[in-house]
Order: sequence, then C-alpha cells, then structure tokens
Amino acid sequence: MFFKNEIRKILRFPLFWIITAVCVGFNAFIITSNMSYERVGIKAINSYAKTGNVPAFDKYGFCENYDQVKQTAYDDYYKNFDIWEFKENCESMFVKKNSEAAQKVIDNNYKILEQRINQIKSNGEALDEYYPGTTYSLHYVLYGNTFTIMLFELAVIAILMTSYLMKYEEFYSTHHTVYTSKSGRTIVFSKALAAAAASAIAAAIIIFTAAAYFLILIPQSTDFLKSSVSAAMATEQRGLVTYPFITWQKMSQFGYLVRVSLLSICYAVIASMITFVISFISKNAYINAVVTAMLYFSFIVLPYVLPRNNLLGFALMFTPTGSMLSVSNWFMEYIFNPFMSYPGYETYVCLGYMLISALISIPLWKYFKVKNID
Amino acid sequence: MKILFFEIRRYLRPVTLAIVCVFTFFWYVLYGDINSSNTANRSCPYNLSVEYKQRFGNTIDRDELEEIKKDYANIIAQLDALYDEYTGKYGVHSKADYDLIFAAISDGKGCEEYSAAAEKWGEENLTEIYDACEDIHWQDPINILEFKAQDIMNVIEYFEILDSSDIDSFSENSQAAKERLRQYRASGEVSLLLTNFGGDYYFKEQFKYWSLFIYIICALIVAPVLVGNRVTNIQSMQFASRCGRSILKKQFTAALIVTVFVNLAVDAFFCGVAFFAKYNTRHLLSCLLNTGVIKRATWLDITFWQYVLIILCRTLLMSLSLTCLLFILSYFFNNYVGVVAISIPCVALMYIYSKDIENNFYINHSPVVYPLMLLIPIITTAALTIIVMRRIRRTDYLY
Repeated sequence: MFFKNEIRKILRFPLFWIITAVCVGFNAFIITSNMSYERVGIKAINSYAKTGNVPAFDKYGFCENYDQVKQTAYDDYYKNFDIWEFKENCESMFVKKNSEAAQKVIDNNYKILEQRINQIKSNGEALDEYYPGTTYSLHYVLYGNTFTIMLFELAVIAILMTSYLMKYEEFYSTHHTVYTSKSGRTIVFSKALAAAAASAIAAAIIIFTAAAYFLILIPQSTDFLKSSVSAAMATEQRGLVTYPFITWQKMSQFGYLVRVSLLSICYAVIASMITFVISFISKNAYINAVVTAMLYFSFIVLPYVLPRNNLLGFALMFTPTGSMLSVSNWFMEYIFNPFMSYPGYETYVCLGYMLISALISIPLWKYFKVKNID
Repeated sequence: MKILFFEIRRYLRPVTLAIVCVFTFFWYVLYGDINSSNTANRSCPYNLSVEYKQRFGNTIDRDELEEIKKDYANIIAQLDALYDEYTGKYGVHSKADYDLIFAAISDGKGCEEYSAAAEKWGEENLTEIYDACEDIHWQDPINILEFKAQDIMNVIEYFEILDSSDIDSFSENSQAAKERLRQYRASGEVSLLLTNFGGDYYFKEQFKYWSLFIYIICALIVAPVLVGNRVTNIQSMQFASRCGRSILKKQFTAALIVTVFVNLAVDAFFCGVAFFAKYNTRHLLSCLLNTGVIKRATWLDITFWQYVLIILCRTLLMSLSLTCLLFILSYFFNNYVGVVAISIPCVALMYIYSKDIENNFYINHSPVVYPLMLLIPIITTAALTIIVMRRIRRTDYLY
C-alpha cells in the first residue's frame, strides 16, 4: 500500500520526467555526434556482406578496408598472442606494483583467461566477422562513451529522486504527522523500494531509448549482431595498446548489450540505495544529494591517495564509480587495471554494494525508529 | 552593512565550508599537479627557456637563430660521442644510427629505414641491438641531451614552418588576419614563449579544470540559500515588510562577493603554483603571446602576463554570470532537488561556453567575437536578474 503511494509521488513529480527527457535527448546527441562519417561505411559494409558487391556509394574504400581487416585480423591479434608476455609488458609500462597477495590473485585470473583465449581460438569465435574495430570503434562509442555518460546520468537521477522522496515529508512539513506513528516510521522502507523502482524505471527508459537510437542510427546486420565480442575483427585500440576484447564467456554483440544494460539498471539502484542510507544522517535533501555525490567522487580520488598494499586501498579498487568508469571493459579482461580482470568483477561490485547498503541501513533504521523528530 | 555581512555568513555556513574543503581536496588530488612532475619532460624546456631568456631576451631573431643552430650542432656532436661510448659495442656509433634502428623497429618491415638498418646490422640482429640500446637511450646522460636536442630542434623547425608557410594559402582566414600575420612575420622575431612548449597554452589547459572547480563551488554555495528560505518558511516573514524585500538586494550582493572571493582564492592558489613552483613560467611573463602561427597569433600585442589576467578575468565574469543565473533560478524552485538538478546543466553549459570563448581568442576568428561572446552571458544574466528581482519585490506573496 505505502509502496504504491510512494512511487506515485516520484512518478507525478514533473522534474523526474524532465530530467529523463533531457538525458534521452543528450544521449541521442552524443551518439549522433560520435558516428557521423562512420555511418556511411557501416551501411556500405552491410550491403557488401549481404550481396557480395561493393555498393556504388562506397567512394572511400570501406569495403576494401573490410576485406583487408578480415584477412589479417586473426594473424595480427590472435595467432601469436601470448597473454602472459602481453601482461608483463603492460604491467612494466603502465601498472603500479601490487602486493604479493594481490599479484597472486591477478595471476590466478590470468590463468583462467589463458584457457578462455584457447577456447576463442579453437571454437571459431576469433574468426567471426564484424565491422573493423580499428576503423569504427563501435564498442568504444557505445560503451566507452555513451554508456559511461549514461551511468552517471542515472546516478544523478537516482540520487536526486531518492533525496526528494526521503525528504518529502520535511518539504511539505508533514513529518510531524507521519512519523509520530509506528506505521509512519516504517514508511521509509517503502520509500527505499519506491526510489529504487523509480531509478530502475528511469534507467530502463534512458538505456532502452539510447540503445534503440544507436541501432536505428547505425543499423547493424543481424549476422554481425550475433558475432562474438571477442572476434578478431572487432579489436579496437584500448588505451595505448590494441588487443582483442577477451570476454570471460562467449558473448554475442547483442548479448553483451543486453547484459550491460541490465547491469547498468542495477548500478542505478545502487545509487538509490546509497542515497537512502545517507538520508538517515543528513538534514535536508541538498546535503543528502551533495554528500552522496561526494562519496561517489571519493571513490575515484581515494585510490590515488591510498597505497594499494593495504586492505583499504585494495577494497577501494572495487567501487561503483571505478566500475562505472570502465563500462567498456565489463565482462572482460582489462590490462590497465588488473583488479578488474576478475570474472564477475562488475557483478560482485554491484551485489557487494547492495549488500553493504542494506546492512548499514538496518542499524540506521533502528536509530530512526526511536529518534526525536524536530 | 551588518545585513550584508550576515548574508555573506549565511553563504559560508560550516556545513557548506566543510563540503567545499572536502571537494577542494578531491580536486587537488586529481588536478593539483599543475606543473608536470615528469622531470626530463619539464626540466629541459624550462632550462632552455631560462637560458634563452638570459641570452636573447624576450624574442629570438634570425641572428640568434644561427647561434641556436650552432648549439644544436654541438649537442648532436656530444650525443654522437656518447652513443659511441655507450652503444658502440653494439654497432650503434651515433645519434643517426640510433634514429635509424628506432625507425626500423617502429615502422617495421617494408619501410626504407628497415631495409637500410637490415643492410647495416643484419636483419636477424636488429631487435637485439635495439633492445640493448633502448635502455641506454632512456638513461642519463643521453636521455637529457636527447630531450634538449629535441627542444632545440622544435625551435629551429618553428622558424622553418614560418618561412615555408604561405600566408595567402590560408583561404579560410580574413584579409585582416593575413595582414596581421604578415606584420608580425615582417619583424623577423619570434616570441620566446615557443621554447617552453607554449607556456600560455599550458597555463590555459591546466586552468580550465580549475575554472570548472570555481563554477562548481559557486553553484554549491549560492544555489541552496534562497531555496532554504522557502523551505524553512523564512520567506513569508521576510517578504512581509519593505525592509525584508530590500534584503533581497543584499542577498544578491553577498552572493556576488562570495563568488569574487572564491575566484580570488582559487586564482591565488593556481598562479602561486604555476609561477612559483619548480619549472615555472614566471620568466616568460613579459614575452609576447604572438608566435607567428595562425592559431596562436592575436589581434593585439599582448604579453603572457596580460593573457593570464584576461583568462582570470574571463573566469571571474563567467562565474559572476553563473551566480546571477543560479540566484534567480533558485528563486523559482521550492525544493532543493530542483535547484541541484538545474545547477548541473548550468555549470556544464557555462564550462563548455567558456572553453568555446577561449577558442575564439586568436586571429583565425574576427576580433569582435571574443568580447561579444564574453558580453552576451554577462548582459543577459544581468538583465534577467534585474527584471526578476524587480518582480520579486513587487509581487504579492501568497504563501
């Protein structure tokens, strides 16, 4: 009963829909501005893959480039690829030294990765056809750019809406009426659920419209959508090196999109849960929103400040913000942050923070139940 | 005056100050390395610019260029001697040899350099020789001299670019811009700023993060105060009297004073680090900004320190515009969530706009564009503020 009324408060709040609409428009702008020239190339490749003939509008040799990459991609990226040598080279150049225990964990993960690479080579995934990654960078455009911005938009929406809902009674000065009874005090959990649900709704709308716009603007052939993310042709430059996307399990392009979308919705729910926890100790919605935003910001900053060879520094490698900043490396290996080269890293971060928020909220709610309302 | 002081105090409440302090710490961790810490990368251009300032003054002319070319030849001779000493046992006897093997390995088979290197050392030995020489190349004393040689080469190449580029071929630029370039190049001198990899460019690129910081702090401080009046029902009491309504002007003045204060604090910190830390660019402050290249030539003959003042003043004016905008927008929201939601795009737009203004500073744009782009937000927000505040003071207060 309370849940229905609480979620109605958010869904009837005009700002919720205004912010969602602005985010949808902004994402469409981001996608369009990133893929202007490349669309012609993809259209040409679609036609070429279907008919076998180079279309007349291909004046820039897109199909020729596609053929070249198709012939050389496997040899360039998979044939002599030694993950251990690659890992050592990159670690010596780019990655900070880790403690022995942490290094043991990382090495163990790379053993699993080595088996996965052999699987990719043997089951034909590496030979799947896709739009040349070094030319079009579709993975970076969609996940590295658009999804990263979207995750932060979703976090902002979740923080604002949860703050609004948690401090709704204070806004309208009804807290003296609502919180004087036991039922009134238990309303906060309905608020938490409603805020999480509203965040998930906003996330679903924004992600669905962005993904649909991307697929409409850059219509990809069905065969290419079924091809593996780990295909040699899909290899793009990642940071300073170019190497394939080595996912922990076999995933098609469409399957990857669906998983990232679902997990992004969960990250929006995490933001809502963290804001819910902070609302117990903040005076008003402004402090609530700002403190939550600062907490997210601190997850980026603190790993720079704290050494990694203690438990706190290690724990700070597994944060929602850190995970959100590397969306394009979800479900796969990422050499520049070996801690993220952990099967299920992003899922464990998501579940872990949900659990932490839930556990912290219990004593805070017990305190809230007996607190004086001023 | 007392009311003004109390209003300023309201903006700088302990909670707000605590948030600002924490945020400042985070920002400093991310962007506090204002002078790059890579020693070889920063010390070389710094030392070169100090040396040239002492030898040549604020500009380099053609005669001085000949001296620089002689310096370059001397350094190459020193490098040849060092390579012969350290890598001679691998068959690499000079800088030219090292450059050849580096190009061969980087560009791979098929390039001219690879064939030449293979002929000289044998194809099967190239990787081994390169691996052995590369470590030596990245250590002192060769490393330092290589960087110095590269920096001096950049200065010489700059003059070659000026000599070889045809001003008339810049078809997208106006006649006035081409005339300005000709006028500058006719002097035969080039500003010393180019030796420090564009101290002005470096200052601008680093300061843009701190200008974003200023906008965020202004939004954090200014946005919630008027909304707080409404949420705590102070507004109904305040607007019940003429004196109360006139306090609005003082609240606005206090917001502007706080903005100026934030600007001064951040500017003092940033300029303190940029001009007094190790490898600073203080000795280049009196150099002309113009370096003869179209994207770094200005309409007026301004020096580096004048350019720094222009950037700081621009940021101050933009932040004052942002304060005006947030002040009047916050009046229309009756809860904090709305004002936070509107602050985010306001700050983002102001940051993007001020970056855009900066791109129009040089002669590849008309001279009126920069001041016009500065004036538009100032006039717009000032006019809006006056109109809205007049309305607020006269409106019937219903709740």
